[in-house]
Amino acid sequence: MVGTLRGADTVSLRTPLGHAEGLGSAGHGTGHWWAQRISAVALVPLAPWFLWRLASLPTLLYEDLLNCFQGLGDATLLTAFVLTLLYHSELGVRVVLEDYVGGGLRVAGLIVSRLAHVVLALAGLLAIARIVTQV
Amino acid sequence: MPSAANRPLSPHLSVYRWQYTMALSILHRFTGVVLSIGSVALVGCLLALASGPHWGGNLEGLFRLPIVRLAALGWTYCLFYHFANGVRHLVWDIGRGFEPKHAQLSGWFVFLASLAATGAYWWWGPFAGRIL
Repeated sequence: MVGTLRGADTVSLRTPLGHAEGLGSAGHGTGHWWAQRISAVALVPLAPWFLWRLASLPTLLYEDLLNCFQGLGDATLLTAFVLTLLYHSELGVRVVLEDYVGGGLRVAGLIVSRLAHVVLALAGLLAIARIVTQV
Repeated sequence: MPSAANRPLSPHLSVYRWQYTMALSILHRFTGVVLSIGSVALVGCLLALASGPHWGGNLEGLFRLPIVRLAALGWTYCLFYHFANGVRHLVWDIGRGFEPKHAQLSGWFVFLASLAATGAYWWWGPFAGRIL
């Protein structure tokens, strides 16, 4: 019998399979919510690190900017920062589009946003790779 | 079953008395979108730096332009605000700070702290003494 999983006094219309899967009516479960939180937690140390690194620059001249991120540790953290930022950004822009834009524009926006974020992530990754190997 | 157009809606924003915590909530989304747009500029700077001394060398001149400085100032404010309010959200997510009194207090703290942090960063940071 469906609907008496949580005891006799609460009636649930969810099937036992649906209850076990825990994916809700949209079928996505809490995946987006968790991904947003985990990327946010990752950015808590990464964003201040990036600002601190910029603040410790003697000048904004080419050599100083290059030296700042060429070390393997700095390049690793910069990669983590850029990729996490873009991932978190994609998740956030998706929610804003879903909440405030309707119809065909929403679908177009969601596609453009997803693709743009992927392209930015690839460009950022390749740029950092070249910065590290720049003489 | 009612069609999508005339289903009952949940109480919308207009039924609530205006409170500044609402403005803070909207500001969180607004600053998030600004940071998303700013990430294009961030990747652009990395690409310039990666393509050698010619383009990388132009960055210093670029950041002397008042309009670019203003944009960078706005970007850092958005980052500090979104960061502080994001931490406020994470605290809510673990189930703390929901009482109206606490939520209002943390709201004021986040708003003022992000302003102070932006000021401090531009006073002592990479653009120290060269704001606009």
